Amino acid sequence: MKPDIERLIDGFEPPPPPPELRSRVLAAAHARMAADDVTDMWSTIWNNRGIRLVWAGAAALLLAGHVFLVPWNGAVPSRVDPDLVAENHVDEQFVDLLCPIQISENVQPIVGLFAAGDGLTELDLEGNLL
Amino acid sequence: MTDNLPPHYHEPEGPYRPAADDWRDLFADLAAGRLAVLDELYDAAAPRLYGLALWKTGSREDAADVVQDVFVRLAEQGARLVKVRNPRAWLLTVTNRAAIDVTRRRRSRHTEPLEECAYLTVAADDNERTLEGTQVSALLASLPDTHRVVIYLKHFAGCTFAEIGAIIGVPKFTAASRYRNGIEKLRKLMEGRDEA
Repeated sequence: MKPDIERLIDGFEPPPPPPELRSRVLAAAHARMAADDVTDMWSTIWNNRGIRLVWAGAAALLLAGHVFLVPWNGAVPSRVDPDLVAENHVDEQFVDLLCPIQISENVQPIVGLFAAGDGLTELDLEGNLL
Repeated sequence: MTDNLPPHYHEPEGPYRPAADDWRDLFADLAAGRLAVLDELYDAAAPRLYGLALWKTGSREDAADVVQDVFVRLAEQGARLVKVRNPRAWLLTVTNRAAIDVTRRRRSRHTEPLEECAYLTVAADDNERTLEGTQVSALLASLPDTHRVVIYLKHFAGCTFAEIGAIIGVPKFTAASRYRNGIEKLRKLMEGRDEA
């Protein structure tokens, strides 16, 4: 037999939801379902286990390829030859811009090219060769 | 908002409950994209969900917001609903979490204390019972919401302690202990009231 307090509670009911709540809730839920019908590409990818696996596999493959197939020779990029810069009257600010992105191995021919073509005046406003 | 939804797997425990199976059919229909089922599911589930939200938040407005939030989350699930093994427990879990979110938001806004709300009603017009219900509601209001929710789930949602534990995220022994403590506190409050 249940104790008094439990029997007392059993004799009541929790209040029902207000009648106007039904239409409000169903409208919101239907609107959400309708919005879901137009799923974007990212949701499709996220919700599809197969595509997620392929995505993760591709990322892992790229990472493994980068780690195992691209040997790091430990070489520190050399600076642009200062004599070349001075000799060709190349703007030093231009050389300083290129050095931090570690393409100085390639900078020297670029410096030579621009020097031969009278410096940066050979570039248009968007940086293309004229 | 707590975005984590409960796992779709809720192993039913205890005696066979046709209601849970019916909701499973409704969930399967919803997962298949039959939107009309949403109305039927609202009629079947909303009273229990609203009751739980009300007992958790102590506010009719917040409880209504919680029910709306639960049905929107339900709509977001789409085809994944087919994986839900125990829709009743799943819905109650989502409701409990949404109610926790609403309560946290209300506390963070430092809003005024809630007016006393009726946790219990009487079906028929019976003034004496209505008065008694109001008095028990006042006693329930003095309980911590964690205890109140367990009493609700046990008495009005027909859950086992294992299910209650899964719904509120505690071991079943903790759920049982909260229930006993809650009932004991209610009994003491009632004795104090009767003596007064």
